[in-house]
Amino acid sequence: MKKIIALLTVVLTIVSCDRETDTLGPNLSDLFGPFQVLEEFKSLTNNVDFSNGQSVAFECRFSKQVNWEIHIVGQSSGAEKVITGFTNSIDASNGGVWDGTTTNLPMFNSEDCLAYLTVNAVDTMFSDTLSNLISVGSTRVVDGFAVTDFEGGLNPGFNVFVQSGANMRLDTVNNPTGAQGNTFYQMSGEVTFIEDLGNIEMPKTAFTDTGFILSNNGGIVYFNFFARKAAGIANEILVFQFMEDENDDGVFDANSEDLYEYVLVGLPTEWEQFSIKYEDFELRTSGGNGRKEPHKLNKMFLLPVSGQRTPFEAYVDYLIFTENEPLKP
Amino acid sequence: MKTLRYLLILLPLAFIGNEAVAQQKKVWVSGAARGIMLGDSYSTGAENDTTTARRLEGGHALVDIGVNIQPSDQILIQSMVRVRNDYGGFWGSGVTFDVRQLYIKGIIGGFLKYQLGDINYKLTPYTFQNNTGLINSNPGVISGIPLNQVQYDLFYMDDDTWRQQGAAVDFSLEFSQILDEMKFDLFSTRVQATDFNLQSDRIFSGGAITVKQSKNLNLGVQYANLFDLEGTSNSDTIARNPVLTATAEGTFEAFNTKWTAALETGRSTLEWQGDPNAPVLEDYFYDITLKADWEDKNLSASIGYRDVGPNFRSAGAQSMQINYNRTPQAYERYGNAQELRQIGFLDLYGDGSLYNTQIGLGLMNFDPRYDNATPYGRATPNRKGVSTAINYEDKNERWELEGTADFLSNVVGEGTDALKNYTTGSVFAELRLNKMLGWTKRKLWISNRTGIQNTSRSGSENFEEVDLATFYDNVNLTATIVGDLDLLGEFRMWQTDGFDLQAERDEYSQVINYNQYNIDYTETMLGVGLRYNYSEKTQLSFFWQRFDWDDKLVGGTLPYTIDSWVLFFTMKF
Repeated sequence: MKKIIALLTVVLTIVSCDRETDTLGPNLSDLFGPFQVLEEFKSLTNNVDFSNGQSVAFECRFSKQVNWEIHIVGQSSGAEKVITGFTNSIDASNGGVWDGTTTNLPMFNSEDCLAYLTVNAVDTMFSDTLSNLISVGSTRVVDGFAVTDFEGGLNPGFNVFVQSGANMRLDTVNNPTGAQGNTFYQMSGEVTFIEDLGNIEMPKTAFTDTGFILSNNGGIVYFNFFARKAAGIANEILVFQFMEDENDDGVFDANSEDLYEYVLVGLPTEWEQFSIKYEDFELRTSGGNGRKEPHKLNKMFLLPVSGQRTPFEAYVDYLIFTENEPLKP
Repeated sequence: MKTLRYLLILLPLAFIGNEAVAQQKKVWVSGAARGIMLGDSYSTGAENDTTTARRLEGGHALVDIGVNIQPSDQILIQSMVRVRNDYGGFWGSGVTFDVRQLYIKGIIGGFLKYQLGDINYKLTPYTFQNNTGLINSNPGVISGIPLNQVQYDLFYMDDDTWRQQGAAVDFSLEFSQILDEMKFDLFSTRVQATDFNLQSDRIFSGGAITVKQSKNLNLGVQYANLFDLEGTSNSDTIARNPVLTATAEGTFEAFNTKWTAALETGRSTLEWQGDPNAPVLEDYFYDITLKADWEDKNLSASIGYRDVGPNFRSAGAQSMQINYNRTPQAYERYGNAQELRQIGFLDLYGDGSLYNTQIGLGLMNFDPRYDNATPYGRATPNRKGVSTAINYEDKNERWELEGTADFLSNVVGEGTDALKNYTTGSVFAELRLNKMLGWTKRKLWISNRTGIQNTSRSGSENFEEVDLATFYDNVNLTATIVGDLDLLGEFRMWQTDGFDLQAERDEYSQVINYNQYNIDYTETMLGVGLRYNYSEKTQLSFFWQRFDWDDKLVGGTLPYTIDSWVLFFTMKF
């Protein structure tokens, strides 16, 4: 009998062990249960001022976990934000918040936006659109050092050189189809004696603080821009040059200081974001210290290049440096 | 005729071996020989199948020749070579020579036993044991003939050991007070070799310390660990699956009954160190059984309760014999659509390629038809409940009765709070009519085993409900015609009908989905044959069997019939 009691004691000791009692695997209701909307899709505000840190929260509740998508579409820009999730409810706690960022270019302007919800359940497709438009009073403030967004025209401190050629145009375009805002920059024409169509020089003296205000760590600094080309254009190349003033004498000396390049060969016909880490730029001179030092950036050049000296037409918008991560448009 | 010709060649080899034993005890030969000829005939009434071959014929002869060398009283070396000739390949490429097994064993200092090379090993049902699945647990007089050969080829022994390659050491200490004996069993084997890229050497090691306190009390601690050996590949991930259990078994007499109480309990961990996506699965189990024996009445009964956690993982105990991801070799595709043929029990009883020879991490896929309740044996995770058994044999061995019943359920729900219930039961009866009739030189045995297994779950929602039922029956007849010649007969039927939601697991053996499983099928086998018993170890059998596969599910598999005749010679020496 003592032995039986001892055995039972051991068993009871084990029974008292902790064990997770959560059900195994996905909820059957989510896999096989019927889909119902228990609480209609809605936004908690119809007016938002992103520049003041405001956001738009959405809410909805379902009978089961589903893959859902919220699409927000700018009515004048065509910008689109897509928020996705796999939950049985949408609210601020599980990602149902729009912070003013963009998923599909262009970036949002101050404009009215349409928001709609789509649900893809196993055997159910569901969609719902907000009855009211969301009015964006002001767009969000992007954290970074903006070289130019071309909104006020070209920075007067920038210098533009244009080769002799046919139909040459290196200038801003005021048009709401830009990737950001209402103005972008056009580079077009045909030069038959040389590949580059000219260049835009962007010295640090052109800025209010007479400098690119950047970190000294090339590993965390990103250079971002939007670009596209016109339909039918081929052999297009964009070259960005970055000159460092290592001895801080105010000028760049190609014999003793670093020049870095980023070469973009081929462009899409729709606006696309390009983000390059500063430390990934390629060194083009040999006289400098070879260290990538963003805080010593003296000036930048943008060179539109036609590889085969054929007609060229490309556009850029919103040149901006960000830190720690690429630009979130 | 070819078989007989080969046998004439092989038989003298065996006799030579025995003669060698007689002449020189330091070196002798042991092994086995086998010859098979068979023919299959396929047909289907469901369609005018003009694509599938109607007939298949084949066979082979083989001999396993083991040379046993005993250079001293403390050392034994065995090397066994298999020579196999598939019919049609003699004098040509069909002949194969393989090393079937190789081991060295001995004893050091008169107490320390060791074995190197091939070893057969097991510990307990929760740490390291080769579990025979329900479908293979009760072979019939005809189906058992090829199945025994498959199991022999794969080293599936009656003692549920796994064949491993490595080393084992055993020794014991005896005491004059308090304890009678303390036994130590240690082993280490390699179950997977490195590919010098991302696959590490995988080692399975462990052992047991068992204490015999007295003739009435045994205690033990078992440990088994399947793990990757760090540094043997470029992989940063190291898998580990240690299992530690404790056992206790006590016997005592009360109420004119011999009682045996047994307990095993323990914990397991399964982890992939260095893999940020991998979980750490930890859980425990306990299994307690009380058995009563009335030896004077040839009656025994047992009842037990076990609880095996959903995250309990034990590679050595949960690795299955059958690999259900494979497809049969014979008629792999059939019908005009050449669909893959599902595994049937006819395949399981004769196709060694469907079986697994090594233990592995995680949980293998299983087939709900053949055991939905305990596919991984007693160590099946997420099961709790009662198991019972009763056995009674007539004092004069004229008949025997046996019954088993398990009433299990989930420990935690699968995708819902509602728990599945698993009811498994079987009844076995054997009549030895020759003993009833007083025939001393003739056998006349007839037996029947009937079993059921039900999986059910009810819930507040329709989608929670499952109901899957399996029914099986096996009738066997053995009757001596004259001398050593027996008539054999067997009828076997397996039927599964219903609906279940089957868990789909990821590479870490976690449930990631549930798939709807619908089935309504029956497979039957009817066989008759003759067996000539040269001796207990040597037999010649000839049998015919008809296998029918019927699938009533709309859109299910194509029904078919396979008629087979088989000539089978087996011998051990």
